Amino acid sequence: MSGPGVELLLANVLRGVADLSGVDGAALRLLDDSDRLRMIGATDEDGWVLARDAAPLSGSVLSVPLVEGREVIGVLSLYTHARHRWSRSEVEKGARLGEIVVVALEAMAGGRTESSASGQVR
Amino acid sequence: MTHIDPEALVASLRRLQKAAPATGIVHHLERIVQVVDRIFGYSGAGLMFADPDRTLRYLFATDEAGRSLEHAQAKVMAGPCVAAYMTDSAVTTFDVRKDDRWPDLAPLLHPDVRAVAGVPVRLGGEPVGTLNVYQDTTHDWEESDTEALHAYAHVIEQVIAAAVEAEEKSQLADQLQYALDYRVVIERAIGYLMGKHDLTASQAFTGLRKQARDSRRRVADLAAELLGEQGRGDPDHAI
Repeated sequence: MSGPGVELLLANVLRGVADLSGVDGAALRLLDDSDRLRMIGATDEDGWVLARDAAPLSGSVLSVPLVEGREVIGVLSLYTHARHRWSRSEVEKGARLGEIVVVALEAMAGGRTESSASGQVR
Repeated sequence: MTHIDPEALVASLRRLQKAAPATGIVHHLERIVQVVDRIFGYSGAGLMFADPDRTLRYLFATDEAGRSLEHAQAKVMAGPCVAAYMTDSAVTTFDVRKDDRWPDLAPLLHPDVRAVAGVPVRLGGEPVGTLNVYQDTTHDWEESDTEALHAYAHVIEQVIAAAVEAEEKSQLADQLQYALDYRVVIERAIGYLMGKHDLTASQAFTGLRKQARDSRRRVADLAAELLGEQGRGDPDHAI
């Protein structure tokens, strides 16, 4: 079956996460299969620089760990071009958005697709 | 413009594939819906999905009240989420228990279900279900509320599309892995047949493949068998 590539899907997820958090952009770094933290993607050029160099922007950055099970698999960074003081609720929201990114990555990583006769989980 | 490094992404997904248990699309959706009410501060959330005959069915809800909302709509085939699916647009209600559009719903609902919003979840541009949220008080939904829900539904759509894509990719990966594992065996068998019968590589492979097809075996299995039988001096049946 043909369909959008995982790169496009991940780009949409990052854009969606940025929109949901109300920030200017989002960047993603992940551990690869050699345990190296790699830059994966960003919603714009600033985010790309941030993901690549972990370089400070002129604005503000909120980075949250991405956790699968008990293992940190990467970092999601949300950023604003203007200086911004992150509130506790924004940090909490960032962590929840990180959970969404982990789920999306797991879906992209693949595995069997469950089938349920009733289609119901609970 | 979003930038993605495909090579780094594949390397990271490979790591994740080894580390994370394969749980399937329903589990992914369940986890992602459990997050929605915590992000937006709603009382609960749920997902409904359409059958092949376009009947909307309950898939998942974060709590008992949310489950009553989805079951009730599935039973009477009406409600804000059914309407969101049918119209492919956001549908909200200030208080579903007193909404004249769906008078049959109230008796079936948990008392905590009051304000409800539903937005379509699409795949390939077509609605396949709805993301539903409810509040345990009346609520005037604003455009920013439904915009955020649309954005969340869009992320859900990416997860569904990724699962669909990954499912096929994993099958492809299995095939590729199989080919890689047995490529050496097949090449050795082709070399053996070329020398034994003075064939070109193409002729040897074609003969090997035909024999495999005729005997309903995989080429790699036949090649392994052929090489295994070399020691016993009877490989000729392979072509």
